[in-house]
Amino acid sequence: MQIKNDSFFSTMILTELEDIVGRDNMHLASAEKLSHAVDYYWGPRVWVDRGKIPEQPDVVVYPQDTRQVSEIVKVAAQHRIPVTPWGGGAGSQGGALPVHGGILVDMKKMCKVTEVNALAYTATAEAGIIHQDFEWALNEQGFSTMHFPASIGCSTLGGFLAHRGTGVLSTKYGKIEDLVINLEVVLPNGDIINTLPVPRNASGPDLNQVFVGSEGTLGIITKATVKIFDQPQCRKYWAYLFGNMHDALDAGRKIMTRRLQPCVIRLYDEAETVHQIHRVLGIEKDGAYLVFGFDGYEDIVDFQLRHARDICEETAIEDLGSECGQKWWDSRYKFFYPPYIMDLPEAFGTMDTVATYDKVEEIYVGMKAAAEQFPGTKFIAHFSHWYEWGCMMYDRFIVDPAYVPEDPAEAMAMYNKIWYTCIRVAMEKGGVLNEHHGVGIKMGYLMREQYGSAFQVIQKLKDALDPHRIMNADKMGL
Amino acid sequence: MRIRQEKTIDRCRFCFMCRHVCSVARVTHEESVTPRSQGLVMSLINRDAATPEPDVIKNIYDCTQCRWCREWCEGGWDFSACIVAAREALREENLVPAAVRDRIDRLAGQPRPEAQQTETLILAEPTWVDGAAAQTGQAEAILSRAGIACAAATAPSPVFALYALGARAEATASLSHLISAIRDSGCRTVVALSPADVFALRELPAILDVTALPESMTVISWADQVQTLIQSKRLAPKPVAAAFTWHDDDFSARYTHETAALPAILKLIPEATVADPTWKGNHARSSGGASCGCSDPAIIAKLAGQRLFELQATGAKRIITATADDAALLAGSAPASVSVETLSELAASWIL
Repeated sequence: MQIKNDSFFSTMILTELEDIVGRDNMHLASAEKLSHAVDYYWGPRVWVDRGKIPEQPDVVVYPQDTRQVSEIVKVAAQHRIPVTPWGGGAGSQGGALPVHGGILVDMKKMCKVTEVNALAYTATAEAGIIHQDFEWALNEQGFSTMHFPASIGCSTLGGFLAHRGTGVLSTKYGKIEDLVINLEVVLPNGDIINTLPVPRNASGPDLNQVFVGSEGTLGIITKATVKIFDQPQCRKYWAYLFGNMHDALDAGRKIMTRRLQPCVIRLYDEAETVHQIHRVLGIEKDGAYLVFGFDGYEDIVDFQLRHARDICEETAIEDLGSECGQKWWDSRYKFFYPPYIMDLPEAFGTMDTVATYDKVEEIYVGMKAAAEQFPGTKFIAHFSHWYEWGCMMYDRFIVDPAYVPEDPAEAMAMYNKIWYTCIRVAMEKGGVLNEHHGVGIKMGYLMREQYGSAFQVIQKLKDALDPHRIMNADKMGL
Repeated sequence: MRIRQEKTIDRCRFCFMCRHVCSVARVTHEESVTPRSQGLVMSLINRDAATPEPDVIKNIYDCTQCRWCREWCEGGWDFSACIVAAREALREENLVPAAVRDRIDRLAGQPRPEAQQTETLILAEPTWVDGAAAQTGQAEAILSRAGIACAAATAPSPVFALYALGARAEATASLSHLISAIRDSGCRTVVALSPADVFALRELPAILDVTALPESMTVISWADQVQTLIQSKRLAPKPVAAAFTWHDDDFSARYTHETAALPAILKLIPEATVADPTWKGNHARSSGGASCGCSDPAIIAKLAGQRLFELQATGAKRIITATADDAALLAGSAPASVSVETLSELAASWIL
């Protein structure tokens, strides 16, 4: 059901919510509703740009502890009211959009670091903490989460967990699903559960991984314990320019498969080197820009760096040195500020594909061709999260404003057509539709195509845990 | 209603990158106060898709104008200017909350600063706290003891507060009068006890289209002036065996970027130990005394409490501020074991 301003019964429900969180933590007025109607997804942005307002929540609540989250969800379950969890709201897939109205649960007042365990090298925090605050709190004790996504200053720990986020040092330290030890979760019936307090065990399926990446469709993550690390003695970077993507991808693959353990590798294709590296770093070179870094004890870092450089020097056309590598690290967030990041009036989308090394180059070539067949559309890509078996492609299409329809519905239709076309090319060639931005509403439609009959496992989990579909319905295709 | 700064508003409305440094968001944790949310709503107002409801208006006046968003932005956008533009637009539409309207009227109606002929003109701190008047007297005495011919202006200037509250016409008139009074004094140096006035005299003329002071007239902050006097041996700090820390106000930190003087002065005091305040491992420093822009006393009190917590974490027992306003705000939350003093009070204890 919906909560309506002029409805008697809605008023009754609102008093229940107010009883749980208090008047100061419940909002019915316009600023909070509007603020929660738009996230980082291009869809609602173009809606707003054309003077239209996307679906808003009926009420915004800010719980201050897990018990309050549980009580809110129980009220929602009782009355079959849609619930949308909201962390930082900086997701790019529409995962936090309250498309069915209802109760929006903003987690940001649950922001305490509850434990730093210097013996176990773990830290526990409430899920609404802005990750930068978490990182700074740990830095004061000499530790780090080593989780440095571009959205570190605006996204929450719970948000990263909900959509399987990653950070710039994932190549060594892992994505958020590798960093998590255990979770506290409020289920769609309001029950509070805890996953097992160790990340590795043989005591049945891993419940952490049921909820990590579930995007609020199976419950609300309220607290998490994650791994923490000492600050490294040193971190060093180096950059090279390659004449073509094949050679550059092969160099990155060799660095990984030879187990040199870089903390980061980032490879920009020729188009993105022109589009971004020139503008942001001021490195006016044409080619494929590859940067990598190692951290830890300096003598080991120097050893690793030397071997990685040997690999690159086999095929690179120019050694750009450590300074160009360090400049990239120092500017790593600058890429995401306007005007360096894409913005309206352009249409743009980050498709974020992951595949094994035997397939990734073919996917890159195929997606580029698919995207650039659309009028006024440019394709740029960088490869930013590397594994021993494959890597992630941060591939983006950018549509010239002249080709973006003024009507927002037409604009969305065009946008989705490009998206579906490119992602289907990736899936046909063995890629997976997303690596770290999640699914949301943007790609929920494609989940069944991606999974085939395996999707029933996810669907049945949803049906069992949330039979009334109150939790973030229509996200992830659920 | 139309809010100027459309280009910045449209750039900031979808960008989340400064959320974690927004002073108000850091203490309220609420979404709608952040620059991106306020930009989003402003952009909808500019498109006639939303109206300035009371909660929207409150958010606009809750902004402290601490300028952390501007400082943090790698793209160089100044969202604090959008807040000022929104306040100006609300004023044009007669939508200013009564409390703010009263404050603007009080500021605009207060006696204007006049100045006698002098070599060095002291501009009093534009605040209502008791310590402000005392600070002006102390500054006058300190400068006189250092052999500098000086006189204080007859009243503080409300120009920055008027500008920040969106009273553009009153701010323009106030600035014109202030500059005229300074010119008439024939002074060579203006010593501003509030760093806000340093900004007002250096940068507001261009913003408000007022003829600036001639380049022959130097505007210097009080902390810079004291540091100069110590370095030139015209003032000599007495030994003080105490642990100090210092509070960098928003204006020094983010309007004029002059934060070096206060800690430098403390480090010149024989026998003193100085703990630099850190905020989250030196990445940034918090807003703590931003009473100039924010109209919600509860938010100001929370900010002051947060800042005091950070300052106390240094272990220092004596906190030195540049302004009496900041001293009053921090002292309001401080335990008896911690003293909060202005730079003037500290310097006066050396020589008076």
